[in-house]
Amino acid sequence: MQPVNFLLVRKAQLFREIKALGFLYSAIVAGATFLLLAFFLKSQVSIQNAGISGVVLTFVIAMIHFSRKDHRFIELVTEWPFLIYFIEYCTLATPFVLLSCIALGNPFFMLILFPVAGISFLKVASRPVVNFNTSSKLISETNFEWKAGMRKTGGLLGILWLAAMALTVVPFASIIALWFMLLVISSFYDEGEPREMVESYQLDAVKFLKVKILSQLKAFFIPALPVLLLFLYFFPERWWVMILFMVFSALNIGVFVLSKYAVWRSAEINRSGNIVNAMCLLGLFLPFFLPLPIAVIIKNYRRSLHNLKPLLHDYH
Amino acid sequence: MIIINNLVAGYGSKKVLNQIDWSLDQGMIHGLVGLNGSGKTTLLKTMYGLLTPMSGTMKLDDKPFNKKFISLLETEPYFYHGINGKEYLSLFKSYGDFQFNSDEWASLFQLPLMELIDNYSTGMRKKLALLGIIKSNKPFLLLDEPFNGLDLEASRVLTAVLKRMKNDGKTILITSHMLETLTNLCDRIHYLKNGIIQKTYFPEDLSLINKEIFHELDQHIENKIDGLLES
Repeated sequence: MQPVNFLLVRKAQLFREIKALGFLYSAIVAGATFLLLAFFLKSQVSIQNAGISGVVLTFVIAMIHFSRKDHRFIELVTEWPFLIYFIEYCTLATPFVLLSCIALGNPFFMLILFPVAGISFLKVASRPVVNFNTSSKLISETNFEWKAGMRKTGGLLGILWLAAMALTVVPFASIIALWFMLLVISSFYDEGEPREMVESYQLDAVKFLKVKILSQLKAFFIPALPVLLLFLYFFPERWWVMILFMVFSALNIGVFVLSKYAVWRSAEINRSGNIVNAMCLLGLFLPFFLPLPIAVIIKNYRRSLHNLKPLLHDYH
Repeated sequence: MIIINNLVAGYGSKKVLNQIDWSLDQGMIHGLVGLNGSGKTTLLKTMYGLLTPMSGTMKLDDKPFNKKFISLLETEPYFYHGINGKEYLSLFKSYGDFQFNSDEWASLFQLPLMELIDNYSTGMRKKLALLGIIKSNKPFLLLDEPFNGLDLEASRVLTAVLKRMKNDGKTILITSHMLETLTNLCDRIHYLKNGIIQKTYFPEDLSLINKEIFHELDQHIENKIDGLLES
């Protein structure tokens, strides 16, 4: 019965998250989920498409498995952590499996259960953050989000960047690798720095946000530009893809930074913006989400100013 | 001169500071004592601007308080995960033309700056927060329990640093649970009770503090212990 209890806990957590989002965002999330599933259903026209979406879903599940923080807790309370993980991931994958089976008329997509089972068996030891020197001109001195983020997920980002460089000859593959980099980078903004670090810039709220966003854009585009330029070299007729991706990633980095400061509290971890951030990121695959980052930026810029002004007013 | 007039502050509708009228001479080390819950931290947070006063004014040289000139060390400093001490200190700018050599200061406090802050002990975190304040070099320092968690050697270093800062013209306001630390260091000790400054002790009266402030409390504690041990 333990796996069922875990699922009930997950259900309760989900409802709490939805409640915290409020009616408007909950409606948007519900609509987005519906559209995502509809898009998925529409894409299931061939075994090849099902294979690609299966790989993407497996990658997402693997990322969830490696980034979740409750491995030690689950190992403590159950003798069969594998079972808990497997049932949770299967629950997550079920709508996609069902839709694919219905669309294709065959159970091909059920093959995803094998890699998912494999992922569930993987033990993730809680590793201390590796301390390495980040004093490099690539990351500015004040960009602590990237310094800390590189120590936590630098290995994964390095692999993704190498993959992006290697795959520039394959249409869109490098762009998708960069998109996965953006997905990893979005986790850099979960933790609110302590008050002293916000004040250390000695800037008013408007200038502070400008400096923060520009430094984050610089940190992303320094590794992304060589990939994008190589992409342009191999596919000059698709120059517009490069421009579109640059605008898309700049907007999303703006969303990450502003979502953080809209709810910033000194030294607190806040993931309340994660769902909306994920929806903004999905804009690359679901075009109807493309305008969402602009709306989120406008809303969260005002909230960030309101949140930071009392603290930074004296530096005006 | 630092002048606080009619200051009322608290949390929600609960008043913790109750019409404080207070003046502090500049270029001195001031101690602030009071029993648990007397409002020491609330006063420091209000002076720094983290809490908006319900009423009253706070002026430094006839101008409203401004964070540009004030540093606040909170009792329990928090840091960002995944960065090291050197990176933390690099964020701070120095007021005026103060040259801060982070390696030399870290060596004085025996702090391994290249270690991740995540691996620091409580005392090391306190030292790092203090180094951030020292680097900022602002003229008015509010230090909430700066000696908490420090080892003996670091406490002596901090005492010497604070005395030197005073000689350089800085005004320092310190709270501490350890009265001895304050009596050895401060030029004035202010007693906060029920949200107001009850009394200010000058160097010649410092010996009276223990008797006047803690006598009643000690008596109450002794009676309580007697009762408990007898039963």
